[in-house]
Amino acid sequence: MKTGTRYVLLGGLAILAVGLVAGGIAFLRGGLTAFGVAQSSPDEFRYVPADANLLAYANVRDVMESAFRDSLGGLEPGLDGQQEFHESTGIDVESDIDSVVASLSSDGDSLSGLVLLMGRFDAGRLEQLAQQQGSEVEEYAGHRLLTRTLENGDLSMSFVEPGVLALGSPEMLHRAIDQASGATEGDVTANDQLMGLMTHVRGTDNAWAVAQFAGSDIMTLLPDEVVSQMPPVSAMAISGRFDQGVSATLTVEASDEQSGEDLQAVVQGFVAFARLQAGSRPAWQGFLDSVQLLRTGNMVTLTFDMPPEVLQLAIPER
Amino acid sequence: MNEGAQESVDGQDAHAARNRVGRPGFLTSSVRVFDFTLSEMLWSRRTIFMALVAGGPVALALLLRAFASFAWLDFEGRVDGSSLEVTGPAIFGLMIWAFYLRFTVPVLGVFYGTALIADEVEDKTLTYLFTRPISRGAVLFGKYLAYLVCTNLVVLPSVVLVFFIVVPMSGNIGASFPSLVVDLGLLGLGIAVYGSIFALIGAWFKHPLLTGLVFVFGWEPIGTVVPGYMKNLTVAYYLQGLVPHAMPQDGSMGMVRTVLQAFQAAPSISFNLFWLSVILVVTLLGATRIVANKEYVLEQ
Repeated sequence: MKTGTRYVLLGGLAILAVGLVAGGIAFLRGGLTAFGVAQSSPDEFRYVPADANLLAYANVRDVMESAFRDSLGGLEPGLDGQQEFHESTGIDVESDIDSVVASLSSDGDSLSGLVLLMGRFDAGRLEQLAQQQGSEVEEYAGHRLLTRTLENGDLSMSFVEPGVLALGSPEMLHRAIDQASGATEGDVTANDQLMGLMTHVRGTDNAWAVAQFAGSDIMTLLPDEVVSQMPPVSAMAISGRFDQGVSATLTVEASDEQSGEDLQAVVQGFVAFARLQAGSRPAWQGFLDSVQLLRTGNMVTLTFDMPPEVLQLAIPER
Repeated sequence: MNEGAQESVDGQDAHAARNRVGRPGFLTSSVRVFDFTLSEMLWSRRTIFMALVAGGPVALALLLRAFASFAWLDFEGRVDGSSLEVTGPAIFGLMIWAFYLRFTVPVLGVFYGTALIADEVEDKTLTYLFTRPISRGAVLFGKYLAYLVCTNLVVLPSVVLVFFIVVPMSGNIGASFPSLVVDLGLLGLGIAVYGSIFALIGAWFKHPLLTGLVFVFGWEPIGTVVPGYMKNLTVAYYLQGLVPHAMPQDGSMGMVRTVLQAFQAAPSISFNLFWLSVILVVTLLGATRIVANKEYVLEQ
């Protein structure tokens, strides 16, 4: 064999080998989103514990400024809730909040949540308002926690850093503060299962949620009537982009292939029922035509594009 | 039998015995043919064409990546009022299907596979090969092995480069790695199957290149779209039937799946692999047999 031939062959083999080894390492470590145009995790993930079963994110600024939200006009069923939130916390969702990270962790028999609001807050005014409403002040690891007793338990809030407001139970906030200071090992980015589910999230989505159900009580959040009708599922990822409409993807991982088939059949039946109910309404027809359902093994993926007209039909005006 | 005749018989037996000991086996012969054919194949003029065909997607990937990095290209668009986002894995899947599977692999199979024997006939060097103490079938098989190594070690690294350039655009290399492995296997299998078919065509037909081009650009596109059983008589049907299984399971792949809608009813993986293996073995054996038995007439 000529020397030149040998070099060409070795060069090709080297590229193959290096590529396969690098890709294999990335696959095993569940990562390599670096060196490129890729989505990145918010810094606030360092407050979220590694044992979280549900992780969600929303770019509130993008959603509020989207044409989809503008086109909803008078259809704002949450306005009363938004007003109540503003009155109780002093936070205006439309102008003060840039993004939100939320998590749910299964703590024995109960679920414990953590909400992180990123934006611009008048900490002094908010703390004063909280104290007026009966909140007690606690110092923990150099942070001020304001805890208020509600019907369902204690709710604490704390400005864990400038521009980041944490809400949750006192125990959860203690964990979050310890997590960020490095007192405990590993944040949610060390949770390979959740991070693996994030691969279903598109880089341009401005809201998403991922959840793993195996070994957690998250399914208890859903009505029993819904859970009893669903095949067993082990994980879920939902993500969407709000611009002219809502373009969303829902990926559900069933427990096994048979459950995946059953889940696909359930969704297909639901879509068929929706088509019957939609009649000849163009908005609904367009939306249902955009629905795509694909199953591979035990993974079922549903994608759709929802124009604002669909919500206008479904939700009565104020 | 007198002593002189006995000695003659003994001598012939000894000569035959020496021949049996000195004549290499089929595989050894093939390896020897592979060795000298590989260099000839790699440094031929066809290699320039192969480099262009394999390097084109890499250049295009670099261009896309540069445009994305400088935000000169927006990978979002609207189709019929619905937003559509094209991610790196989606682009990679499209490039595998459109560039490599539909063009690069069949075309390289035509140009190299048909030339395995046809070039020797045209250059009038076939005689020198056939007068060697090796089986004719081993000559073809050795050349086929050289074709496999040559094309795989040019095309597959190209695919790996495209993968690492394109996938990080709104994608995850780790999550997409299994699809890379499957795609590499798919392309390697395609190279092998197309090569064996065109080796048969090259050994059998008088104008093998023309026949091969008609097969790739005429028969296969028509056979795969015509309803009925005709698609079963194409290689593309079985190969491309494996492609949807290789696609990433991201929702943004809806666009790609729409393009491949004709193959959503593809049979199972095992069915496709079985028939591809049958095609490979039958055509290679056929080519070997034809080369062994055909009398090639070298034009003066």
